[in-house]
Amino acid sequence: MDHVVGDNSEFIGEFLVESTENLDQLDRDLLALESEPGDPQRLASIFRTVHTIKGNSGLFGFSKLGALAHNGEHLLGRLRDGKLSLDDRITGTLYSMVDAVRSILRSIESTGTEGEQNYRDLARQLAAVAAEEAAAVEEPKAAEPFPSEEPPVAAAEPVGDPAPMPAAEPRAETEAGESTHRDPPPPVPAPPSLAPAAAPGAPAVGGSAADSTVRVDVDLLASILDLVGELVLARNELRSVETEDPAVLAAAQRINAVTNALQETAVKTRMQPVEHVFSRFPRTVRDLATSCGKEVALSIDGADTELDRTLTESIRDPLTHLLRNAIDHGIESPEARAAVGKPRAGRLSLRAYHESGRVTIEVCDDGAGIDVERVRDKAIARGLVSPADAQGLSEEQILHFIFEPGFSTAREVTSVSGRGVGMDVVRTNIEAIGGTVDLHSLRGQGTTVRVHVPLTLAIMPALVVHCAGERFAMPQAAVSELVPVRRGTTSLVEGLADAPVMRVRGRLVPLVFLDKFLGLRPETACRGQGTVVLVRVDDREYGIVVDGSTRTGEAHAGCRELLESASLSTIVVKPIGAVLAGLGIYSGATVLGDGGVVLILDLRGMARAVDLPPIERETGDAKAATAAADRYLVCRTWRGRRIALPLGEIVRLEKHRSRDVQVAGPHRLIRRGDGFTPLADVDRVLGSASVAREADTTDALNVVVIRGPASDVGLAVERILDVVAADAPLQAALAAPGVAGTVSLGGLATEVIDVAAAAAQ
Amino acid sequence: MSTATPSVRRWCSFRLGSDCFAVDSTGVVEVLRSRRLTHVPLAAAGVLGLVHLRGRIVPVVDPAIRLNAVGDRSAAAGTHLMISVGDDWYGLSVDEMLDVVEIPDARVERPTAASSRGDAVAGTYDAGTRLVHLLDPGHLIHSLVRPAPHFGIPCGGPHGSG
Repeated sequence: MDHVVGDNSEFIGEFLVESTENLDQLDRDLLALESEPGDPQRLASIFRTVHTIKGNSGLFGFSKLGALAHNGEHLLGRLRDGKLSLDDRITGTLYSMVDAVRSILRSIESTGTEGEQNYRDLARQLAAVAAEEAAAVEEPKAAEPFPSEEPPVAAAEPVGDPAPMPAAEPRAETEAGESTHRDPPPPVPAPPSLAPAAAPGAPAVGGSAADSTVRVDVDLLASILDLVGELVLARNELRSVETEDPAVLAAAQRINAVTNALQETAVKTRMQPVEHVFSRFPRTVRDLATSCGKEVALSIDGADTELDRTLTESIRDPLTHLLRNAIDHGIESPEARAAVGKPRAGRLSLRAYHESGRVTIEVCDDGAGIDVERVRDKAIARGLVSPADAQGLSEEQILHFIFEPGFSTAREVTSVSGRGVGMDVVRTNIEAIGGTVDLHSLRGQGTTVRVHVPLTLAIMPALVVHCAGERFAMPQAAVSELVPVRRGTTSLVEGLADAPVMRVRGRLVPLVFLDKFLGLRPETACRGQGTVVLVRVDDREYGIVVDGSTRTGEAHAGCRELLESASLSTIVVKPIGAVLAGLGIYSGATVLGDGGVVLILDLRGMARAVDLPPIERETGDAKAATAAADRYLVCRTWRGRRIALPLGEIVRLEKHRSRDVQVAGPHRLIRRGDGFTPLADVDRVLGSASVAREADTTDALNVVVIRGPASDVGLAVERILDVVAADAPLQAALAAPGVAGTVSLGGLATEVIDVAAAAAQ
Repeated sequence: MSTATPSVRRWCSFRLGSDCFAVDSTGVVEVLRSRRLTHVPLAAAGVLGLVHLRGRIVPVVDPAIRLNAVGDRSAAAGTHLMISVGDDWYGLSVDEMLDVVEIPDARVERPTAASSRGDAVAGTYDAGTRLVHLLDPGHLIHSLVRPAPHFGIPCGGPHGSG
């Protein structure tokens, strides 16, 4: 540590990490001190932290930081010595100091300098607070029985300590503190270069914690995990070696067990208690409550719940949003609470726990709850749902509108919230890491938001699918359903204007044929036989068509096919180079148990690449139906008329060969599986004669299947053109035979088939 | 053998078609033989596939495309020369590994500006019996893994062909 000048960026890095951690501890200490003023342990801990920062900033020549810390230290020294007693003003000043130190540290981290801002005012304020109140409090405070033996100051002095101090050291506090050292120095004197790992972090409670933990580079942990992965593969190879030798078998057995245990342990090293995120929240809540004029008591549970360290950072912002909402919108003002017989201080609880392989974090307040009626009105006003449909929605469905972008029920915009950003950001951020959010609210009793996130992203359950002899993995969290597609069944809807879709329980889901999408084979071979994997990412739902029974070649029961086309396994996600990631359709790769490398599909990227439209987030069948009713399938008749069919009325689209059409009396029928579907000619429906066409040579016949009174009815059309959303509602005035009205589709007036009349033919 | 001074570097040479190329041995990670590659659909033509090596997923590229290797390539039996470029590893698919040659920097001839192999070849060394083309792996890899300029994804539809 004898670098004073020159390249000491490495040490500065350590200093930053350390100081940031210490500031978090400082926040906690200050909060604790507010409820228990004069706690000597806390005061000592705060003093130590500030002193460390002062020492290190002197070492690296950060003069602003040093000056600030120096003034803070002086104030703290007076507090510790009982010359001052803590009040709101002092606490506020100390918080400002912590914030200033934090922003300087951030500036150092990003630019390497302390930044432009001048903290002279704050420094003066610190000095003023320390000086002016001294007289006022001195007398009563003198009686306060402070322990005569000094609190343990500087239990573990930082390495930076012997370095040059700013000149104006007011008293010999350091030496005084050290001379009454309560904790003995570490039994094994660590070499100076290692000291920062164990030095200053020791909290006031339990100084031994520092001895049992080591600071390790995350990259090092990652490489250990990689090596374990290699070992697992080698183990798998060993397993496949055929041998009768009992010694080899026993050794293999042992290697197997050790490898499993090692993998488990290595994975654990990535875990970090959510404490790391939670620790700042008491301070956040305090500040928010103060600025909103609320009284809030925060309780935190399960802070030791562990989560992958890459995820802990991702949940910080969403949780902050949720706390902010709870304080600003949820918890009422103390007066309002008192009026309804609630305690003046609102209760806000933050709870983390493991639940079915995921981590659930619950933000719960006992505030006013969400006014469902207001949400409903707002949703209607914003056109998210029609008034009629809104009546049919459950409270829970209505509450979900809160997650819509730009949705806020706040009557007025406050500095804290109400600008309509928040809940949708929460949802987006949580879904980005494979999590979900749900919300429950009871009017007058409070709101609970639960965030469910996966334990880790590095290891996840995945679905491995086969397509054209290749294997691909997709995150299981995004997969909602597997649907077998077999020739002769009716589950696959073919083509809306070159865009294949499938009807799943009333929804039309766009399909992507993986083989064609990835160019795995020239023609889509799995159209008749395959499996549709329904996936949902963000606001998009689509189906990925992969190969069906590729091994046996014969159709079996559905479940058998699914098993062969897709299998679940837990995979270790490995990054692929930036080059391949730049394609935007792979999110990584993994190595399966047989040693094969398998690409992980980026389902979000795929949806983007095929340019799937975001689907409406359905809030029940009612909304799905309205959404579909506003969209039309545009077709052309043989007479060249452009007609439209409401999408909601269509059961599916089919393609038949003309020779499959059978004639029975006046009716024409199409054989489908075990039964027949009556077939109507669209021109006939429209009151004109069918065009005499060379039925035998026209091979493909496009059939739109609609629901008829007795059974489904097929409507033969010349060509399917497109699916278009209506520009305006249906106009019934221009009705003609078989036509329900006219609608403007893409600027063109288009006749809409009267589906009921067509089905009756 | 190990009298290498900074001005003499060791190069791992290999054959591609009828030409001999070499990479600086300090960047060589390993030589893999007959490992099955995982094909990467829609990747640049130079990317042959992925292979798993020591916990990493490593792309294997075909340098012959960039280096205009000609001649008999039938012996290409899946030998992959794994090299590191910066923090990343890449595999070069080569026809045959040859010896490690010590080449004094002073005897490396700079390529002519008009070389069709461009930046990928940093110099040439006359080993007497043959010419050894010394590669600049960074440039070589970069030109191979760059995604195709027109990245259009066909949307898989049954009527797409019609």
